[in-house]
Formats: sequence, structure tokens, C-alpha cells
Amino acid sequence: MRKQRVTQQAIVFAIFVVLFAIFALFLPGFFSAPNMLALLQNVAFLGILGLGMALVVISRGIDISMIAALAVPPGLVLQMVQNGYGPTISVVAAFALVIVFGLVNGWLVAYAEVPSLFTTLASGLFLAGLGQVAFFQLDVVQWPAALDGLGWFGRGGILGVPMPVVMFGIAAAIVALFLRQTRIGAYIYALGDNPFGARTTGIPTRPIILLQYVLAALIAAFAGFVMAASINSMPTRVFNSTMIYDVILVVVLGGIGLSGGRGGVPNVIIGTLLIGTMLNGMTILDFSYSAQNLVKGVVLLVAILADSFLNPRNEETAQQGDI
Amino acid sequence: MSVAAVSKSPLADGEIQLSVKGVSKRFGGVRAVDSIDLDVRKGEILSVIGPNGAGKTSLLNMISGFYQPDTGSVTFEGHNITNARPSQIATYGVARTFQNIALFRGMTVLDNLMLGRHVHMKAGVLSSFIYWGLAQKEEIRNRARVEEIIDFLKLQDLRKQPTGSLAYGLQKRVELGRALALDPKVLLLDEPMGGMNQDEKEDMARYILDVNEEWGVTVVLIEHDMGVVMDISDEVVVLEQGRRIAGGTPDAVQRNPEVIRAYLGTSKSKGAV
Repeated sequence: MRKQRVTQQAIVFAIFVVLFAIFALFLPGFFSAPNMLALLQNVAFLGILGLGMALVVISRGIDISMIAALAVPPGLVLQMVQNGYGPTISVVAAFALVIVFGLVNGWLVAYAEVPSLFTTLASGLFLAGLGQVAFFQLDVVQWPAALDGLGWFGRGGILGVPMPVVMFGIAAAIVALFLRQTRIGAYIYALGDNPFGARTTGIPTRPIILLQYVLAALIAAFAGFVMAASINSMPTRVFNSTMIYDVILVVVLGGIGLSGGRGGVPNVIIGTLLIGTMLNGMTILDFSYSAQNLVKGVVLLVAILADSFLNPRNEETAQQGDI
Repeated sequence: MSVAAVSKSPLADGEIQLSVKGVSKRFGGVRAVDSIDLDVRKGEILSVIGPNGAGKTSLLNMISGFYQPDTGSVTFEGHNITNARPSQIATYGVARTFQNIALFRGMTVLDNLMLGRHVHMKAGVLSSFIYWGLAQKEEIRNRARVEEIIDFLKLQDLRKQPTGSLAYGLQKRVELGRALALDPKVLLLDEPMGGMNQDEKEDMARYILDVNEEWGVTVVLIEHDMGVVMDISDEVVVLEQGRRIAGGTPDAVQRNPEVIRAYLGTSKSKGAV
């Protein structure tokens, strides 16, 4: 099983290399410095979101509400500062919103036992709607000058590496450490591998699920804040885009099985590189928005199909709960 | 084999350690368990037998907290665990294995046992964010205990293998190991020999006896192999269609006409071993 996972990673990485090489050779402007910079920037937000999604998917959940958590809390910070509140109180308010949002998601999944897909579908819609109705005056909230002290989150770079990419790197390192070096990380894998086994060994499964959704929401809001700093505004309608599909694509294509317990941060990085390259290439090729969606849809379907072949839900865990 | 690592129970051998009183569970119209009483004495091997659908696994699920009984109560060493969560019950010292193996298939044998050890890790949730320091010292101490269990179950060569790739009989043995890693006072085993060949069954029976005799762990066993059950049990309880129809020493149970009827069948009963 471990061997299989390595092959899947290797295959996806090979596809990335081939795709990248083809684009670089035959696509004018692809391998230019400005385009590489743009590619990396776009990929960075997707990658950070992918880390949060991975945390949830590893224990068999999914968080469709991540784009709402990306847009609304950072948007709230910008809006509050525009309206004359201090940066600190604005950040604290947004932080509280994220935590409450994550707790509600996690509570519904862990304690009310609503399937994560439906929970986060509804809660994302709610949060996005709340933002539009109660918080934002315009669809695009501009970055206020009073908040420029925090602009470094997404602007400039270190040694030529754009700041969003640096942030992705930092987030990836923290999540990797969390998953692989802490006991809670091991519990998350255990929970995804076999929920019954996890409960019988005395692992408090529900608090861990709760924690996962809080972390996913925090990571999404972090991605949103970096994004807002980098593009100098928060386009709050991003919730209505197809971005969540890109995130799922990153995670599934990278090799984090939807059946749980498998994959980690390296998978997110590989998935991010491939999807980033694909999206960028299609944009240069001047694919229409709809044509891009068509391609993404097909790739996602193929990836999910491949995932259910490579990582089948095994019989032992499927048929538990017998009399 | 070190005996010292096993958790101390305040009870003496032969005292009632686990007590099930009037427990019932229905699923829709089916009475899976119908007002069952069961007393498990410290240090004994008690087998629960009965035809398929008799409610054996449901009973185990209620003891280990996976099901909440509709009526009745479960008491373990003075704690009322009737409505306790599985993780809580594990902390009290009740470990179990499943009929359909519930291992972490993507993880190695060693990791599976280390996770089974988790209730003995005292470093709190926050400090476990950091692997170093206290948490790491604990990890080393627990690792030593896990290695003892690996030696005991003769799993030395397999410790780095993913459990999903092991043969069925070995997986059952690893699952026993993970339950033992908890240092349980009571071990609930749900068909630990199901699907095994004769040699594997004999090995497993030996391990169960050793755990019971050397480590003093009380065992509650569900098993279909009557030879094994009659061989190793101190006490046998027979269920049929959710009710307790007999209980006592293996000899007494074998001679009980109710049991013979349930197993060998009269014209109106369906049971067979």
C-alpha cells in the first residue's frame, strides 16, 4: 500500500514535469519571468487552501466552505478598518468569526453527525451570504491605507521569492510538522484510516474532528489575508467562482485519498504544482472560462476515478457496526 | 515476561469486575439484546456463545460504549459506564478487538501498537503539539512496553510492515497486540479466531491463556469454535435470540438441555454451530 502511494505521487509529478516542459517549449510567454511569478503567486493561494483541505480529507471529511472562510473574515478586516475601527480590533473580530465558524462546522460534523459535504455546503453559503448582507458595502473591498502595516503578508518577497510563495512554504512546513511529528497528527491519520479502531483505542475522535474544521477555517482565512495583501483588495464574490473545485483537484490529484488516512503535505505541493501549471497554460492558450471548467471537470473526474481504484474503501472498514 | 506493566486493579481475583444488569437493545423491530445479566469475575475467561444473530456482538458493543443500551446498566469496577463514550471506557481499562478487524491498515504494526498505547500518554493535548521534551520521554517509555508486547506476540519481524499487507491471521494477532498495548484490565475479544486455520487457532488460544494467566487480564470472549471455548473458558454464557438461556462451567453448559436444543436444534429452531 505504501509502495502504491509513492508511485501515485511519482506519476503525478512526472505529469507535471512533462506538462511544464511542453508549455515551456511550445507556449510563447509561458517560461518568462513575469509569467512564472504570476504562476507561483496564484499557485500559492491554492496551495495554502490545499493544506487546510488535506487536514480534513485525511480523516474522511471535506470542507466545501473554505472559500467563504477565505473571503469573508479577511474582507471583514478590510471593511472594519475602512470604517474607522483600529486594525487590532478588526483582526480580533475576524479571528473570532473564523473560530466560531470552524467550531460550528466541526460541531455539526462531529457531534450532530451531519455529513461533512452537506454541513460545509450550507455553512459556506451562510457565511458568504452573511458577508454580503451584513459586512460588505461593495463587492470588492479595497485594502485601506491604515492597514499597510500588515501589507507585508502578501507583498514583496524574500530573496526574489514572492511573499505569497514564502507564506505557502511556511504554512506547508507547519502543517507537515503538525501531521507527522505531533500525536494529534497521528490521531488524524488513525481517524481517517479506521474510525472504529480510533475510538476503540481511546482516541477522543470528536474533539479531533472539531479541531480539524477550526484549523481548516483558520488556514483558509490566512490564505485570504495573504491574497488580500497581495492584490490589495478582497474580491468577496470569489465564493461564487470555481476555486473550491481547484482546491479539491489539488488534494485528490496530489494523491490524498478521499477514503482517508493517506497522503500528506508533499502530495499537496505536487498537486498544487500540477494544477497551477495546467491553469496557467490554459489561460495563455486563451481557453475561455467555460472551456477551462470543462477541462477541470474532466481532470477531476479522472482523478477521483483513479483515486477510487488506487485507494479503495476496504471491506473491513466498510462493514463495521454489525450486530 | 514482565508482569509489572499491567494496570493494577483494586479487586482480588474472583470478585465481580464487570457487571451487566438487565441490558436491552432494539434495532427497529428486532430485539438484538433482551434484558441480559452478566457478571464477569476478575481473572477469569468468560465465553459468550450462541447462534448467529444471538446478540453477542451487540452485547460487547454496549459494554465498550459503541451502542447505548435502551435499558439496564453496565458497571466496571464501581464506575457506571452505561452511557460512557468508547474513549472513556478505554481509559478505564477495557480494550476490545473486532470481528471484522479494525486496524489502521495504512500504518505499520509498530504505529498501530503505539496508537493503542495512547491512553497512557499523559502529556496533554497542548504539549503534545511538541514532540520534544516530556512528550518524547513518554514516547520512549511507552515504546519499551510496546516492544514487550511485540516480542510476546512474536511480531518482531513485522514491526515495520503496513498492517494492511499482512495475512489475515497475523492481522488478528496485531489487533490483539493493539488491545494489549492499552494495558487493559478486561479484554473483550470478538471472534479472535474467526477465519483461522487450526494452527493459527491454537496459537491464538495460547496467547489468550498467557495474557490471562501471566498478566492477570480478565477475558470476555466471543467464539464459534466450541472446542476452543470449552477448553480455555472458566465460565460460558449462552445467548439465543437476544436472551440468556444458560450459564456456568463449560461442563454444566454442555449438559444443559436448553443449550443442546439451541445448538443441535429441534424441529422449530434453526441454530447450528
